[in-house]
Amino acid sequence: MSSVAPAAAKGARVAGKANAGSDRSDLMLDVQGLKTYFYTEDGVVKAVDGVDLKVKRGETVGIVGESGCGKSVTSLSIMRLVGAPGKIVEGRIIFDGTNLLELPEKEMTQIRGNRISMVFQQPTTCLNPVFKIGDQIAEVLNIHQSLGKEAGWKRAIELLRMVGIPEPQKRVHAYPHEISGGQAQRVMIAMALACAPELLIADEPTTALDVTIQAQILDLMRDLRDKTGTSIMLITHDLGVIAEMCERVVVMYAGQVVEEADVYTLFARPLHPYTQGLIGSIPVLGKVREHLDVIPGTVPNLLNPPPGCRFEPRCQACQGAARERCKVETPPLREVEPNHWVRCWMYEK
Amino acid sequence: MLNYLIRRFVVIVIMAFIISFASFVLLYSAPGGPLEQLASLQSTTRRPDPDEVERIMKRYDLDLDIGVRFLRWLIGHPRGAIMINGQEIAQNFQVGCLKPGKAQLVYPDGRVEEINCAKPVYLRDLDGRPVSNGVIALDFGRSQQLARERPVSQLINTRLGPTLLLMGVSTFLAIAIAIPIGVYSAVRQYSRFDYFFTTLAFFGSGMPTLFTGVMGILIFALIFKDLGLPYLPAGLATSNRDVVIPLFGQIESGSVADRIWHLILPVGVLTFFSLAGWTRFIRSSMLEVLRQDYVRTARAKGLIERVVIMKHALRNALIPFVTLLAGVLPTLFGGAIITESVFSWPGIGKLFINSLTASDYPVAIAYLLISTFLTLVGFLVSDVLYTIVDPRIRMS
Amino acid sequence: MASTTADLPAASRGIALRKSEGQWTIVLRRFRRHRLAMISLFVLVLIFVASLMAPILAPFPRDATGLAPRFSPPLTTNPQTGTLHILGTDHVGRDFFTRLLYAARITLSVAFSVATAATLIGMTLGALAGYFRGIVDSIVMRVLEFMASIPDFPILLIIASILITDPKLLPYPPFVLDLIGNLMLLNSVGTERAQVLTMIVVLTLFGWTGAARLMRGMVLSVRERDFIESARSLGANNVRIILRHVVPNAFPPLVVAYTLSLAGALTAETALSFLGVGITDPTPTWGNMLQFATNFMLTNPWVPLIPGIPVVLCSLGFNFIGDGLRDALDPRLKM
Repeated sequence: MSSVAPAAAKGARVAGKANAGSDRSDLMLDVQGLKTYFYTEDGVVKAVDGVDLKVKRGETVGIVGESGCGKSVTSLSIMRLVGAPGKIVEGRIIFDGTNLLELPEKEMTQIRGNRISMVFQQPTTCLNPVFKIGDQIAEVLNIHQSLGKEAGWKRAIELLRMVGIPEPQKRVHAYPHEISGGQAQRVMIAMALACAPELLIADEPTTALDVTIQAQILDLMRDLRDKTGTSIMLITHDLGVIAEMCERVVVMYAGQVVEEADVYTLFARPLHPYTQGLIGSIPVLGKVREHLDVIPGTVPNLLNPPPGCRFEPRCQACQGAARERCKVETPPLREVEPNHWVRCWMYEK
Repeated sequence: MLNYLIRRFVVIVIMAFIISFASFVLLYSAPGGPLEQLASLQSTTRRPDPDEVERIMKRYDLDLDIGVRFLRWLIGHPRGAIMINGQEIAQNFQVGCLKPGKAQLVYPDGRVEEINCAKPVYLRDLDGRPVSNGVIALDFGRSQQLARERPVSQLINTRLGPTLLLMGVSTFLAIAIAIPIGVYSAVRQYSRFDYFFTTLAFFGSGMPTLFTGVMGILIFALIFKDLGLPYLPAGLATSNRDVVIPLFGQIESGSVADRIWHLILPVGVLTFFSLAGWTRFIRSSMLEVLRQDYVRTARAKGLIERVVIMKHALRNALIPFVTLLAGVLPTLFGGAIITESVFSWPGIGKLFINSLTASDYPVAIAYLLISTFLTLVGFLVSDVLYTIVDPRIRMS
Repeated sequence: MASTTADLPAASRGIALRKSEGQWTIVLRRFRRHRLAMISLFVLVLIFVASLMAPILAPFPRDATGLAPRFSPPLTTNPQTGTLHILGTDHVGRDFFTRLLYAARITLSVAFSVATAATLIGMTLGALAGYFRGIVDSIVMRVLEFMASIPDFPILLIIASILITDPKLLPYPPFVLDLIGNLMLLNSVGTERAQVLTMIVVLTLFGWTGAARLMRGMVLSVRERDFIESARSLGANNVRIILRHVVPNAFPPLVVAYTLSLAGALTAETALSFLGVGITDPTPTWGNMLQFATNFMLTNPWVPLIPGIPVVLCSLGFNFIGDGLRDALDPRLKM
């Protein structure tokens, strides 16, 4: 359906970005030192613990990591949708020059769904079962563009057509349970793009779908991005999706960013032992390997994270005296080569 | 849809038939009917007069077989020999026995048969015997004890108004108060407000209306009156004469003010009791919905919290609420038996308990039958409502 | 917010079903945190002990009338013996405190008998239905559906009015009557014992459905799990599987349901006796004492408080303990 040649398009955009890269005003989103904690009965869970993140205009940034590493909480924090017992404790989320964390709730509602939209993992449960699809799309248009019911529905049909739903004038009357998961995700995307947002946060948008549908949804997102120029923050645990969609990648582990680089560098020369492990664990089609590398151990308990480097208990990179430092001191996120940031003591000069 | 309704309705009729037969057998084989009352009246002075006994047995069909009695009660037939083309058929069919004992039956052809009945009753004997039009014509027969010979339906009619008023007002109030409290408690879970009202709800549902009713009378009717404060009546639905209430003025007997004045206490007691259940239901159903992904979507769309709660969440939280409405229908008719008793409220629940203690079984059965029917209809209504409020459910 | 909390470590989720040494300590600790439940437990134990010691504590014979002028106020001294009528006397001059103690014994015994019998019957039927499925299940389910679709309180009243007010209708084996009589200190002459026993039977008849439903659901959800399969393949028989694997899993909600059904049985008995279709005078229960009390409350307003307060204390108490147990045994059940 989407016939854009991805590689070519991506190459062109990356080049374009490189020229304007130093321009401060070109930053769409700048997350600084974000800390989101959950205050549970058993103690404080530091789900996001000092995350820094930048998304430039028109750029697609991937956030990758295992489940439970804080990817989703980061995205919900940006939308300020973290519910009790979670709380954003520290940090700044600067979106187009304003710190979202300082905005009154009323102004925040004018940003959500309008300038920043979100697409979630489970499309079928994300749509309200008692309202028609048309109503749910028209509602966004009604609150942000004051479109009346009739105009809203008309626009909803256009949006459904845009996201590739067949017979949109019929489908608009359907209830969520009457459509498939893939179609529901298209509806979610239509709803997210209804107000032409500047930033789209997609939280595992394809994880819950069949493999063939996954590819279609990714094609659609790429296609729409190229048409609208929206910045995308794509959260996934699937490095394949990252490779296909993103220009820059942020790797998260246990609530922290451990590595950040452009997609080519990251795949060609991953520096952090965790990233190396992640990339080593991808099966490569057509290539016979003795065994897939697996990262031993499990994600640490965020209730009681290791005192030093959070990856230390699972790290196989170095042994001996160097290791002692990892156990007690958390490494900072450092720019070890231009635009390549790593949180690891190995790369300390 | 229509098919479904018809099928369900047939089930309802069958269920109602089974229950009515079971309760008929149960109650008419129970002790304490008119005959026993006669016996207890007469035993002190003389032995029961056999003529009087026979008269009462005939009057209340006590001499007939249970099946025949049930038929006469249900459809008002048989009323005598069956006529087909002007010919009487089965007029000699035995349908009951007026006096137990041994007797010999001599047939015209000289055959003699020993039967276990001193005075058999035949179908032809039913000619001219008083009979109701049958339950299916909504004729529940006549009262035997509470109001001698008055039709049961008339008795129920006079009691229906007060019960509908009491139950209608208290149910409406309970729901109207419970929805905002339940919603707010859920939205502010574990807050002071939530804690206060969940505890209060616990007290409400934990205290029997028996107790709250009696305490209400004690405090608001007796103590308040003694203290010279504006007090409430201790019972009944209207005053017999005009009353002057301190600091308030005169209340005319039978006026609207008088009715409201009498409603306050029983409505308060019932509302406090049922409020608890409704609040907890709404709260937990709302908590469940607030956890759902689509509520997060609604927030992510940029809706303000009030719309998220009142439109997206509440609309879903009220879906299971519909099942509870099924239970409301029979109670609107049946009343609150205990509360009506405590407050001597002239309603149907009080009528029912009176009929039981007085062994006035036609009244009790009528009550039971209508309650059962309404309970079943309530389920049907809630099923239909379900398909209206929840698009995911289709009847099949 | 489901996705954000789902990511939390397992430590912050329920602890109830995990088998470990410390399980009961945790339950106890959680229960003790529920202040109202602790108060209720204290009050109920007090009432319970008082009812057990009724013959020792009671200053007068249970049914002796005309001890003092009717409706003597509390703390009146008896003119003949000089003993104190702690709570005064009732409408025929019987000692209120004495009757209250015996009533406590009867009412609480009825409540415990009903709740225990109903829970055991319900558990058994529910377990059988859920475990063996097939015809047993469909019969139990039909009965449950039938019970759910009838107006149960009116039917309970009708059955009570027939059976309880004339308890001769049911034949009871004498040893059961003796047991009940000795437990509740009832008169062995007359129909008193049979009446109380009929009350237990009738309330049990209507009380077992909740436990059956709960148990059936539990069994259905547990029976497909792997450990049942492995137990079966190791040769464990069905009864053993139910007792060893299903019952422990169903235990927390059943305990809660049991406590709540204690409250239900107590209020039901009180209501029936109050309405005059239950246990009748002179057998004292809080319900029939309350009935007489309301008849005379216009002239003697303190009288309804005497049986009323214990009723409400017990009803609330069982409810709060049930709530406390729910919190303690399985936090996920918390409403």
